[in-house]
Amino acid sequence: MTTGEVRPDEKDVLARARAGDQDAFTELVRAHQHEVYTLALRLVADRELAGDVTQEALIRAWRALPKFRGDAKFSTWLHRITVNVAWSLRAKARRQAADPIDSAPHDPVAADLSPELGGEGADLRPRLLAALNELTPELRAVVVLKDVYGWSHREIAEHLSITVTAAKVRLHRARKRLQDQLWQEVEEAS
Amino acid sequence: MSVACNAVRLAIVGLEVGETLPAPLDAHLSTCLRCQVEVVRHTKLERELAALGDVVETAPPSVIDSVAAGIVLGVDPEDEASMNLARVVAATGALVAAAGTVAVVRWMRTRSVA
Repeated sequence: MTTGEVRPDEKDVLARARAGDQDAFTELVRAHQHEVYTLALRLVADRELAGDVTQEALIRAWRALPKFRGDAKFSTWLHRITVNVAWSLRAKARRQAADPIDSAPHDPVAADLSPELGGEGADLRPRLLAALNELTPELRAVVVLKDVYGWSHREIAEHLSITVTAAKVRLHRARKRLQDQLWQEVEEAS
Repeated sequence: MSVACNAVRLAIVGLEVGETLPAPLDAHLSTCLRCQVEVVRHTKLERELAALGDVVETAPPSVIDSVAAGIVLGVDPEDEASMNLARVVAATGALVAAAGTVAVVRWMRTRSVA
């Protein structure tokens, strides 16, 4: 995961926001809302829930801003908050319903994509997104954070409240399932 | 599928970027076309997952307004009711703005007719 200073052009806005300037924070929201939403969507695989995660993560960021020391990139810090919120909202949604996230392999995101499982030369991305959405939230979170966002096993374990070993096992399972799903039809056709 | 092929398949899935297979499996790999296909597939998956990090989805337009409303109202993220209130306030604001625009447009039309 990338760490370092905040972008120079963002420093001033960030300083104003930390001092309580709401307009400055709105500027930061404008700049980062899409990346926060994207991460939330990758984790929860549900556009409506991802919108809620984005809203809550950004409000939590505002409240926690005075504690932001700047030893990590602002976006990295936002990502951490987003993962925590996604995980807790997912758990809440699970308690409130009969877990539509876990039991809905044909969720809106996957349905939008309507993946065509073609040959190996076919565009992999829509099939990959559909395959990711078919994973359980536990497996999806690990593979998204590790292989898409480049988090370490230690960071993943910390944020998902699991052991490093469990993170590695889940990653292995997630990759295996993605492989199986992506190339299953190719195997069957050949 | 042979025992060696199975071992290669399992090992590939656990590989980190830049890591190579242990020597005995690597030796098998050099002679097994099926396993070579598996390696290519793993590499494709790895690359495509990494490339997903560059894909940005567009957040719903309501996000900015509901965050702004949440901040102004000082909502507590732990309190679902106050989070919902921020969403309602943001949605109402958007409706009022839209209604205001319609009113202005109508007023301008009546002015131009007159």
